[in-house]
Amino acid sequence: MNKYKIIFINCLVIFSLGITGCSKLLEVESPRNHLTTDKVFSDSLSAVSALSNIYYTLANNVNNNYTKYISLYTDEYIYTALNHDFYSGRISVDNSTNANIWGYFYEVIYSCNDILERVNNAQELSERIKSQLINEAKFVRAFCYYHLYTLYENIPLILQTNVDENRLAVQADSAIIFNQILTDLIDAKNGLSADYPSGDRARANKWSASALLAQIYLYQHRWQEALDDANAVLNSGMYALTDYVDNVFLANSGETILQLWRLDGFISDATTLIPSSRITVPQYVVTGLLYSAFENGDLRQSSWLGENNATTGGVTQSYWFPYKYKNRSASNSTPEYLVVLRASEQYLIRAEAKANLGDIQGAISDLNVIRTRAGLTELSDQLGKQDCLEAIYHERRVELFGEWAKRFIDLKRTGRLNTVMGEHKETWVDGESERLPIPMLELTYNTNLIQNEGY
Amino acid sequence: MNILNPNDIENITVLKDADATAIYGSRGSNGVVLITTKKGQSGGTRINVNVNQGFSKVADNPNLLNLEQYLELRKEAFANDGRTPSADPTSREYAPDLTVWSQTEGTDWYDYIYGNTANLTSTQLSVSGGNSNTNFNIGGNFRTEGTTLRGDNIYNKGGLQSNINHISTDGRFKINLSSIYNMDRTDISNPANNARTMALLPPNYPTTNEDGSFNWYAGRNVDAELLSRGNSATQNFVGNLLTSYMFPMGLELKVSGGYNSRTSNQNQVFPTRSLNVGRINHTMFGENSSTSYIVEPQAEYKREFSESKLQVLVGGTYQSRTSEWLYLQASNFANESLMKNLGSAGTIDARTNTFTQYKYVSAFGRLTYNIQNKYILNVTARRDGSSRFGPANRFGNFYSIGGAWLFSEERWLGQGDGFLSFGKLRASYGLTGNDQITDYQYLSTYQASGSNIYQGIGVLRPSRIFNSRFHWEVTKKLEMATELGFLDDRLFLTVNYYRNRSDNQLVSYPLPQITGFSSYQANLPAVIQNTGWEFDVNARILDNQKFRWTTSANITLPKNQLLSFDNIENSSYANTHKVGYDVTRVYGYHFVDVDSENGVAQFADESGEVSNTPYQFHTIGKRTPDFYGGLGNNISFKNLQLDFFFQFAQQSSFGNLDFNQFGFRAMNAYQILDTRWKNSGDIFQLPKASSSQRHGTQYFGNSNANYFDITYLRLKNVSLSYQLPTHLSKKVGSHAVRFSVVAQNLFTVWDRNIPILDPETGGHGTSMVTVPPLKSILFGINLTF
Repeated sequence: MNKYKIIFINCLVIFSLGITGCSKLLEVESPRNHLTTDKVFSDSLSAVSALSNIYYTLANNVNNNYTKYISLYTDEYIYTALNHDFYSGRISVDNSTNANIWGYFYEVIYSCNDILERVNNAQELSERIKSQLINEAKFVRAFCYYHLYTLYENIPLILQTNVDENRLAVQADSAIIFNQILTDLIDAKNGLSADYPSGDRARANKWSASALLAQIYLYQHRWQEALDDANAVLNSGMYALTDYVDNVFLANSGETILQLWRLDGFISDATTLIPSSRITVPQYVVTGLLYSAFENGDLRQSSWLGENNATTGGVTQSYWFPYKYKNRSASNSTPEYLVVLRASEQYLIRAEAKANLGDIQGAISDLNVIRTRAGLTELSDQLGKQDCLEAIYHERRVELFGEWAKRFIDLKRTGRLNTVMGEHKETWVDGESERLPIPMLELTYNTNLIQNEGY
Repeated sequence: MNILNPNDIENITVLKDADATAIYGSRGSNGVVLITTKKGQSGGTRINVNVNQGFSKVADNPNLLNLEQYLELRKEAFANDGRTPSADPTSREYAPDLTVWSQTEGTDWYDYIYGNTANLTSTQLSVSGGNSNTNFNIGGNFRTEGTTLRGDNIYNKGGLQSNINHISTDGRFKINLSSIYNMDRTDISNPANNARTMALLPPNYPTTNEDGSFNWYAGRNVDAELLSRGNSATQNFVGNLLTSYMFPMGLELKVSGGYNSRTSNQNQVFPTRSLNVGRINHTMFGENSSTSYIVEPQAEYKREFSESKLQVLVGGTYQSRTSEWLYLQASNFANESLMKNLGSAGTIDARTNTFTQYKYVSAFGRLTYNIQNKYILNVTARRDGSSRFGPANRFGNFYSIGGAWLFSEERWLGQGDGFLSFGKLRASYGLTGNDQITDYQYLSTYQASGSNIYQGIGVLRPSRIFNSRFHWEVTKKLEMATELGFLDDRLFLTVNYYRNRSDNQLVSYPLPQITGFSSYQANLPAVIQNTGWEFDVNARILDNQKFRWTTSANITLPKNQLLSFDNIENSSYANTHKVGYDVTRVYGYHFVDVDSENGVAQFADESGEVSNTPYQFHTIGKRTPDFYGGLGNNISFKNLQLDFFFQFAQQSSFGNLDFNQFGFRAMNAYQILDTRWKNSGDIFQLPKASSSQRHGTQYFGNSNANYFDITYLRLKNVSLSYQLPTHLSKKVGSHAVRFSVVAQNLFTVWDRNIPILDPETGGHGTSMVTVPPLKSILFGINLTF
């Protein structure tokens, strides 16, 4: 039996040699689709990949869960399938869409904060790249806080990544939030160059920061500053309205200030918004209010709305659906990217700022630029201030429908939200419905947060 | 478990206490199930053939409203709000179930989806034999199974296993090689995943629209979703080699090595017609492979003294597992009959390729001292290392101590010859470690996901909030038990008390999303205690040559408690948990009553007063059952044998009621809704039907009004078998012939009015998504030659 003994002893010796280096035995290969954070920020290419993720998340997770639902929440769209909380008007605290809107915005904010912290400490990156990354991250962070604020109003202001502090963060005062938004945007405006950092207009430049600043000053009724920033954008020489309304949302259209890049040239909401056949009831239908808000002969009505004829219960009727983006699937010939900021809105911002500052002629002249392109007659510059403002509000409604909750924000900042929505929805409650509920799990896990009134 | 063929199992042992599981380390932190497979036997060559044919149906359908009741509920909901249902899709009063769809013909969707009878055929063949030194057992099995789900669905499984055993003539050297190879294939329709929402479709929901297209009004369509299919194929190989040598001085050296390789391929095909409007055809392709190996050397030394025995065991484990996962989602197939071919896809939307590796290493020593077979002492110490923790926290030290006293061996108790035939007291205490978490959670990384591309660049996103501090979870386990046998063990009683405490449980710590993530890996700074009593009785009621009857019964009374929690007010658990209460605490709104005047459900604030902004975190129950157990009988009379086993439990669970079902949405509801408030003055626990949202509607589903006590008794298993008398089996040339019938889940006693699917699995979540328990019957013949 000696041979057995020898085999055995050999086995044991080999094994005991192995086990002596215990810590060595536990060394594992790193997961291959992961890169350690230090490495990400030691190289400009991978650092740009981390930044690109922010834009990618905005174009996908944020927009898909946000824009069309807020259009349902206001008076823009109707939902024809089984009731949707955002359409019926009463959003429950455990609504998953609401939790997604909140969660994805804060996910982007986390990424911005992480980039700001990591880039500051990155030794290997050049100063030029560092400044570029920091200012783009600040721009996006400001964009997120602006939208979060208009939706929820009572929001925590998270500016760093420490989880132990963030998980117990309290809701910040609105003045502090706006102060931060403006600080970030002014930094971005000063730090970013007029040229786009990459091909396409798919990452923020100086004018993107100005254009967003103009929106925010308008929200705050700071007319002169809104006017200055809109002026700066429109006078930059880089942006002009497209001749035809059909071309506004094409990739790299001349009036685009910032658009989110899409692989395959179609936005992901298009498959939902554009019905698959011409004879079905579209899931998202434009309300009668919005449809009839277009004046006769408005080119935008025929270009930006699609028509289906469908039969239900023996009755055939027309249904209009949002059709600003026309590609329902991949398109190489006429790609579309998701527009965030465009020159047309800057004309409308400038018009509104001018009107509020008493320059009615200037306001009407800006307004007429938009109207002319839409095939409408020019308005007289002899309007009174209130009529002029009403005309601007009206123009904004038909020009900017279905884009990034603009209708909701406009109604809110001009003090018309409760009146307009109270008439449109029986479930609307003044003093409550103008804010969405803080998602239930946020209050569950962070006892410092306070629910919005009425939820 | 799925890779084992039940017929190849020799026996199953369950180990729970710290002492018994100590040599298995963290792998045994939740207990150890030891499965011994059948070995060959010396003697002539034996061939065993086993053929089974079975049928199964869904055991119970949920108690839903029929069409008439459903329409009445919805009409009442509109009437209560003074609204009129409309047939115009753009109207706020649009209610196609009341205005467009059939008012006379309804479908029981549950039966429609799960009404099939599933067939099962299985065959096993094994050959065994050998001599006193070497023996073998080789077998093969094949099984084909249908499902109760609508459509053609197939699950096939086949396998081969072998076992070779050799022992040297002097008995010192032993070697055993066992291997199992298995493959299975499934081809199944997808609605299985969506059964919950589909079962609640309105009874008159048409599957097609007037224009012939599928109806997606409710976001679901059974007929359409049946067009999408999932396929998978899995191959699994397990090999184990065990060899040992016993030296003359009482030292035995053993080495066991194991290898496991598993690969699986899946695809799920979604043609455009199977998808809700707005989505395009796509196929998901998945490929997993994982390989693991384990080496375990052990040395055991035994020495006998005049009055006692000493046994020393030292050993170690080295384990490594590597897994790779490739996932592709492809869409825009021009030709939908080529959707299983990646090359025919127009675009590849998602590409994910992950790789993970796990390593585990440990060393242990155990000392057993036995005096006169009366007093036994066991001490184990071990050191475990796991790659799942950060480099500074990889190793943990654990130990256990256990003792037993066989008092029936004492002279003053008659050494087992009297009324008390066996008596044992045992106790153990030990620390066990747990590393059962996801790999790499301690690493700060950014991750790529192939399809997430921006301007042609693959984007990198933060993987997690990393935590480099989490470490081994340690549970302190205490167990005490007594085992008593009476009258030659005809009556055998075991009473067991356990107390397990953990003060650093590894959890996925929930976070508010303002942190950027919804959880991260951490140790919970809390002491959690599980205690319980277990009683087990076995009685051989009749025990003679012709007639045997054995009864066994067991019951467990578990109790869980959160003993303490550092700074709970500032943790994410402040609302969800309470110190002193069960950690499986279920919280929700407190339902007060239904206002008898207007039929509105009323809920309480924190102090218990009716409020419009009710408090969400009232304690309404716990998930730990009050008790559970089983009752079994084995009766044999001559060649006939009857076994049956009951299982019972008392627990509580959320039901599936939610306010959408109170006529608000076009959604079916449970029969329990018959007792809803209808007229002023009605005193009912269920509020009125309503077609619009009101304050309070959202609270109902998460309140104690939707929380039910569930007690059930289920006849889990009955089997009847008959062994042909030898003189008859010889006539057919067989050594032994056995016929059997086995039935499962034949009946269940419970309150069917509770709006849940099955009392055993409970109400919420997963139980509704998967296939409900089946009632099945299986006929079999077993022949040995």
